[in-house]
Amino acid sequence: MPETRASRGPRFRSRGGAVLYLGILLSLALTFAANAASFTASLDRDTITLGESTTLTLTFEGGDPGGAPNLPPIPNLQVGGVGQSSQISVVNGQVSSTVSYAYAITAAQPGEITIPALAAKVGNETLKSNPLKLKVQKPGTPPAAPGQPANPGGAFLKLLVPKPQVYLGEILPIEIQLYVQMGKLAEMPHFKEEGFTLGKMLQPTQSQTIFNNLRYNLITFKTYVMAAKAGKLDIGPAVMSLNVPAPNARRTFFGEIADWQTISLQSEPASVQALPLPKENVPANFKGAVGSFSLNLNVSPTNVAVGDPITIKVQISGRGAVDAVTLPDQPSWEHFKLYPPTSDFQPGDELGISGTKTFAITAVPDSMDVQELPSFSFSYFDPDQKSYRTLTQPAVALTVRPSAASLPVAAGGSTDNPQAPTRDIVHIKPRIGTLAQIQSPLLMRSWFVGLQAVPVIAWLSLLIGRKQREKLANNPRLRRQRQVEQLIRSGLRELRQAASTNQHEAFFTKLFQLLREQLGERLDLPASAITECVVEEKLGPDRLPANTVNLLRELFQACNQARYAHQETKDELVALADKAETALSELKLMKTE
Amino acid sequence: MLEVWSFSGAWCLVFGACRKIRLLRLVVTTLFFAALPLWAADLTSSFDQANKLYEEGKYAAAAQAYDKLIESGTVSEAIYFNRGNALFKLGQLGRSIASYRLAEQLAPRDPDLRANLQFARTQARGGSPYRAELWQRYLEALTLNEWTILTVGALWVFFALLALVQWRPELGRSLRVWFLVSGLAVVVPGISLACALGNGYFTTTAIVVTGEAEVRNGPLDESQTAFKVRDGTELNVIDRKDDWLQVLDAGQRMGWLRQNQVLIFAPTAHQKSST
Repeated sequence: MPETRASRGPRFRSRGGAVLYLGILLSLALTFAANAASFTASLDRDTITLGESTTLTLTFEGGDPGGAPNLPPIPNLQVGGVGQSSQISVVNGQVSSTVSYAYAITAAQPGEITIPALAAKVGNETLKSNPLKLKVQKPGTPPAAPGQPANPGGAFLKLLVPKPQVYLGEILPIEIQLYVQMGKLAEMPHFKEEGFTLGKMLQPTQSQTIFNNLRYNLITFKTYVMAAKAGKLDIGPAVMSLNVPAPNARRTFFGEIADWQTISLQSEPASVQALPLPKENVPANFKGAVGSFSLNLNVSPTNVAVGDPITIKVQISGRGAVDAVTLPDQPSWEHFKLYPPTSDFQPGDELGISGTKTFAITAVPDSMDVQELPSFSFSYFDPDQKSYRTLTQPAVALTVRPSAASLPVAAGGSTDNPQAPTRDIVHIKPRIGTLAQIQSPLLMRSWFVGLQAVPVIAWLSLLIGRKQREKLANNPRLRRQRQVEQLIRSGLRELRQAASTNQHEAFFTKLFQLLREQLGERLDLPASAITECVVEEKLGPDRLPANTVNLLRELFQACNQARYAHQETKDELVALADKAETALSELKLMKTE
Repeated sequence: MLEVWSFSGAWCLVFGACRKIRLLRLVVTTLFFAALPLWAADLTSSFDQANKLYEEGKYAAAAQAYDKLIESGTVSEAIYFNRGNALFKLGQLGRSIASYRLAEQLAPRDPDLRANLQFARTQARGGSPYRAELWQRYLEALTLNEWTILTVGALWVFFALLALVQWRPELGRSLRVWFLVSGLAVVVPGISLACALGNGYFTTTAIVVTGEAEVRNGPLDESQTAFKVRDGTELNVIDRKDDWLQVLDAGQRMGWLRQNQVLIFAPTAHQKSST
């Protein structure tokens, strides 16, 4: 038969392409080879009621047994049908394949069934799974809420309490199981909390089961309770509302239920006996921890100078109310200065009933005589063992050396480097110093704020003054008016003085000057151009009242007469001064030209 | 005769009353100044007594003695400082930090005080050194009053230049550079003053005084814990509701915690220690 291209395998145009192809094949082969095959077994529920079924899943990773493994005969276990599923995933270049075989199993009698480690051949090797335990409880009739028919809407509620006795402070996980054929949750289940505290309720998980030959959706709610008082405590009944299809419910165009009704479901109550903790053999440092714990201790550094801190990390892990665990007192640590500890809790499960709590304690050895951190002990009550237990971590050797750290930092010592803190605080001050009061800041005191107005006012005053000067400089008439006003004011004073001292010449000279200045300013004429004739020509009745004009005439005539003969007495001069003041006041009110 | 007596008698009474008032004033003043050294000696004695208790290791009694001095109205930086030391020795980091901060208001540049406050803050952070952010160190370089005086001084200079220009306008051009300099001298310290006011005076601080306090998402005991803070942690108070305070920590985490777990630090209040 002639050789065909197909029989010879793929051909490549270049050597490089061949190398690339071989490389891909090799990496895939190595990837598969690197992932050693594994075989695990799991149950979707480890507690069922007689008559219910659960699913045993055998999972093979990295290999395939080539078919569903035959289960060995297991007492009290009946195997139903088997289903297969497979999955291949590539993550970060790593290829993994998973093949699963699911067996529906039921029990013939109540009790505990042990599914041993199963063996299966994958390739050339025989793999073994992990063993499993399945608890089968006695059957009970599905509970009915008062006034409700049994299995209303094909649903009922069960409250599962794993054990009938607990100790005070012991965490008891419980489950509430909702069996429903078709429905929608209206609320989470709840019950009265009398005599115990209720933990948080997780989001429910869902699976399918067969009960009394009927297929149900099984919704499981997990939470926990902790007894708060001794004696018989009733848990439940658990109550919840559920929306189920109404009888003869209509359906929408898409086949969905259109009519729903709300029903109330109620489980049977459960009771537990809460036992008080034993009063005998209580360790001295027991502080109420109940559960199962382990202890770990770490100290660093172990070589320190006097006054230097060490950090002690105490880690308490286990199952119980771990988050509520507190550190016991350690009287043997008297040679250490202890600072308040900080704590951090890492839960080990969603309910938080297991986990690890880590305490960090800062301790300072107070002298060089300290050679070790004494042993640390933690006591708790183990409800499974029904006894108190004390965990002890041995003493940790320390080296405490002398140093200048125990001396106080000198005053004025380096405070500029915040990266290297002093090893102890500076000693107290020996003198009381200056007495003072903490006062409000300057900015909050009204007098200070008011004081800041001074420069502003000064500046504004100067600004206004400058503006005034500029206004005057740009307005000669206004300037003249101001000057004449000033002149009239001082001139009238001089006039009266001259009148009172009977100084005729000075009086009339000043009078004449004042009249000319005021008239000149009002009429916008030079003062030297003002004569009696101006009064006649310019001061008509429309500008000044006739009395004022007459008064001005009289004053001008008096001035003229005084040039030639002084006849007035002192009183007459005073009277003339009054008239002059009146006339000048009237003139001032006259409108300018 | 009677009239003369009554006239002169009245004056004698008035004259006598004036004399009596002056005498009374003299007596009171003398007594005051005589009592002053006695009062000061009494204060010093009480202070020394408190120090003695501290040296004997009786830190709780020492802290109470310092408290009594403060309650009597006598305060000084040394009293707050020593009280801070006593509280620190008692392991009360939060209260010691509060006391140091009060002392800081009276003597902000005392190197001993700065060292102890830094040490206490470092202890409160579990040993990791406390280091204020760069902008905080810049603002803390001067006290609030110093920033105020700097700003106000520059403002006075600025307005003085303005006034000078109004008085002698011909100087306007030659003073232009000085205007710029003084303007900058107003703006930069002014902004720093505003920031220092906002960060210091108008910010209420809550200092945790319990070993560990839970900061919750809401002001209810049932609210979930957001994070935990330890003794000595300094938080900014944002809001209050009943007994709860909404706080913000240095990492910008926000939550609510009970008022009785913290000491509210107001810059002008006296803080009392309790052991």
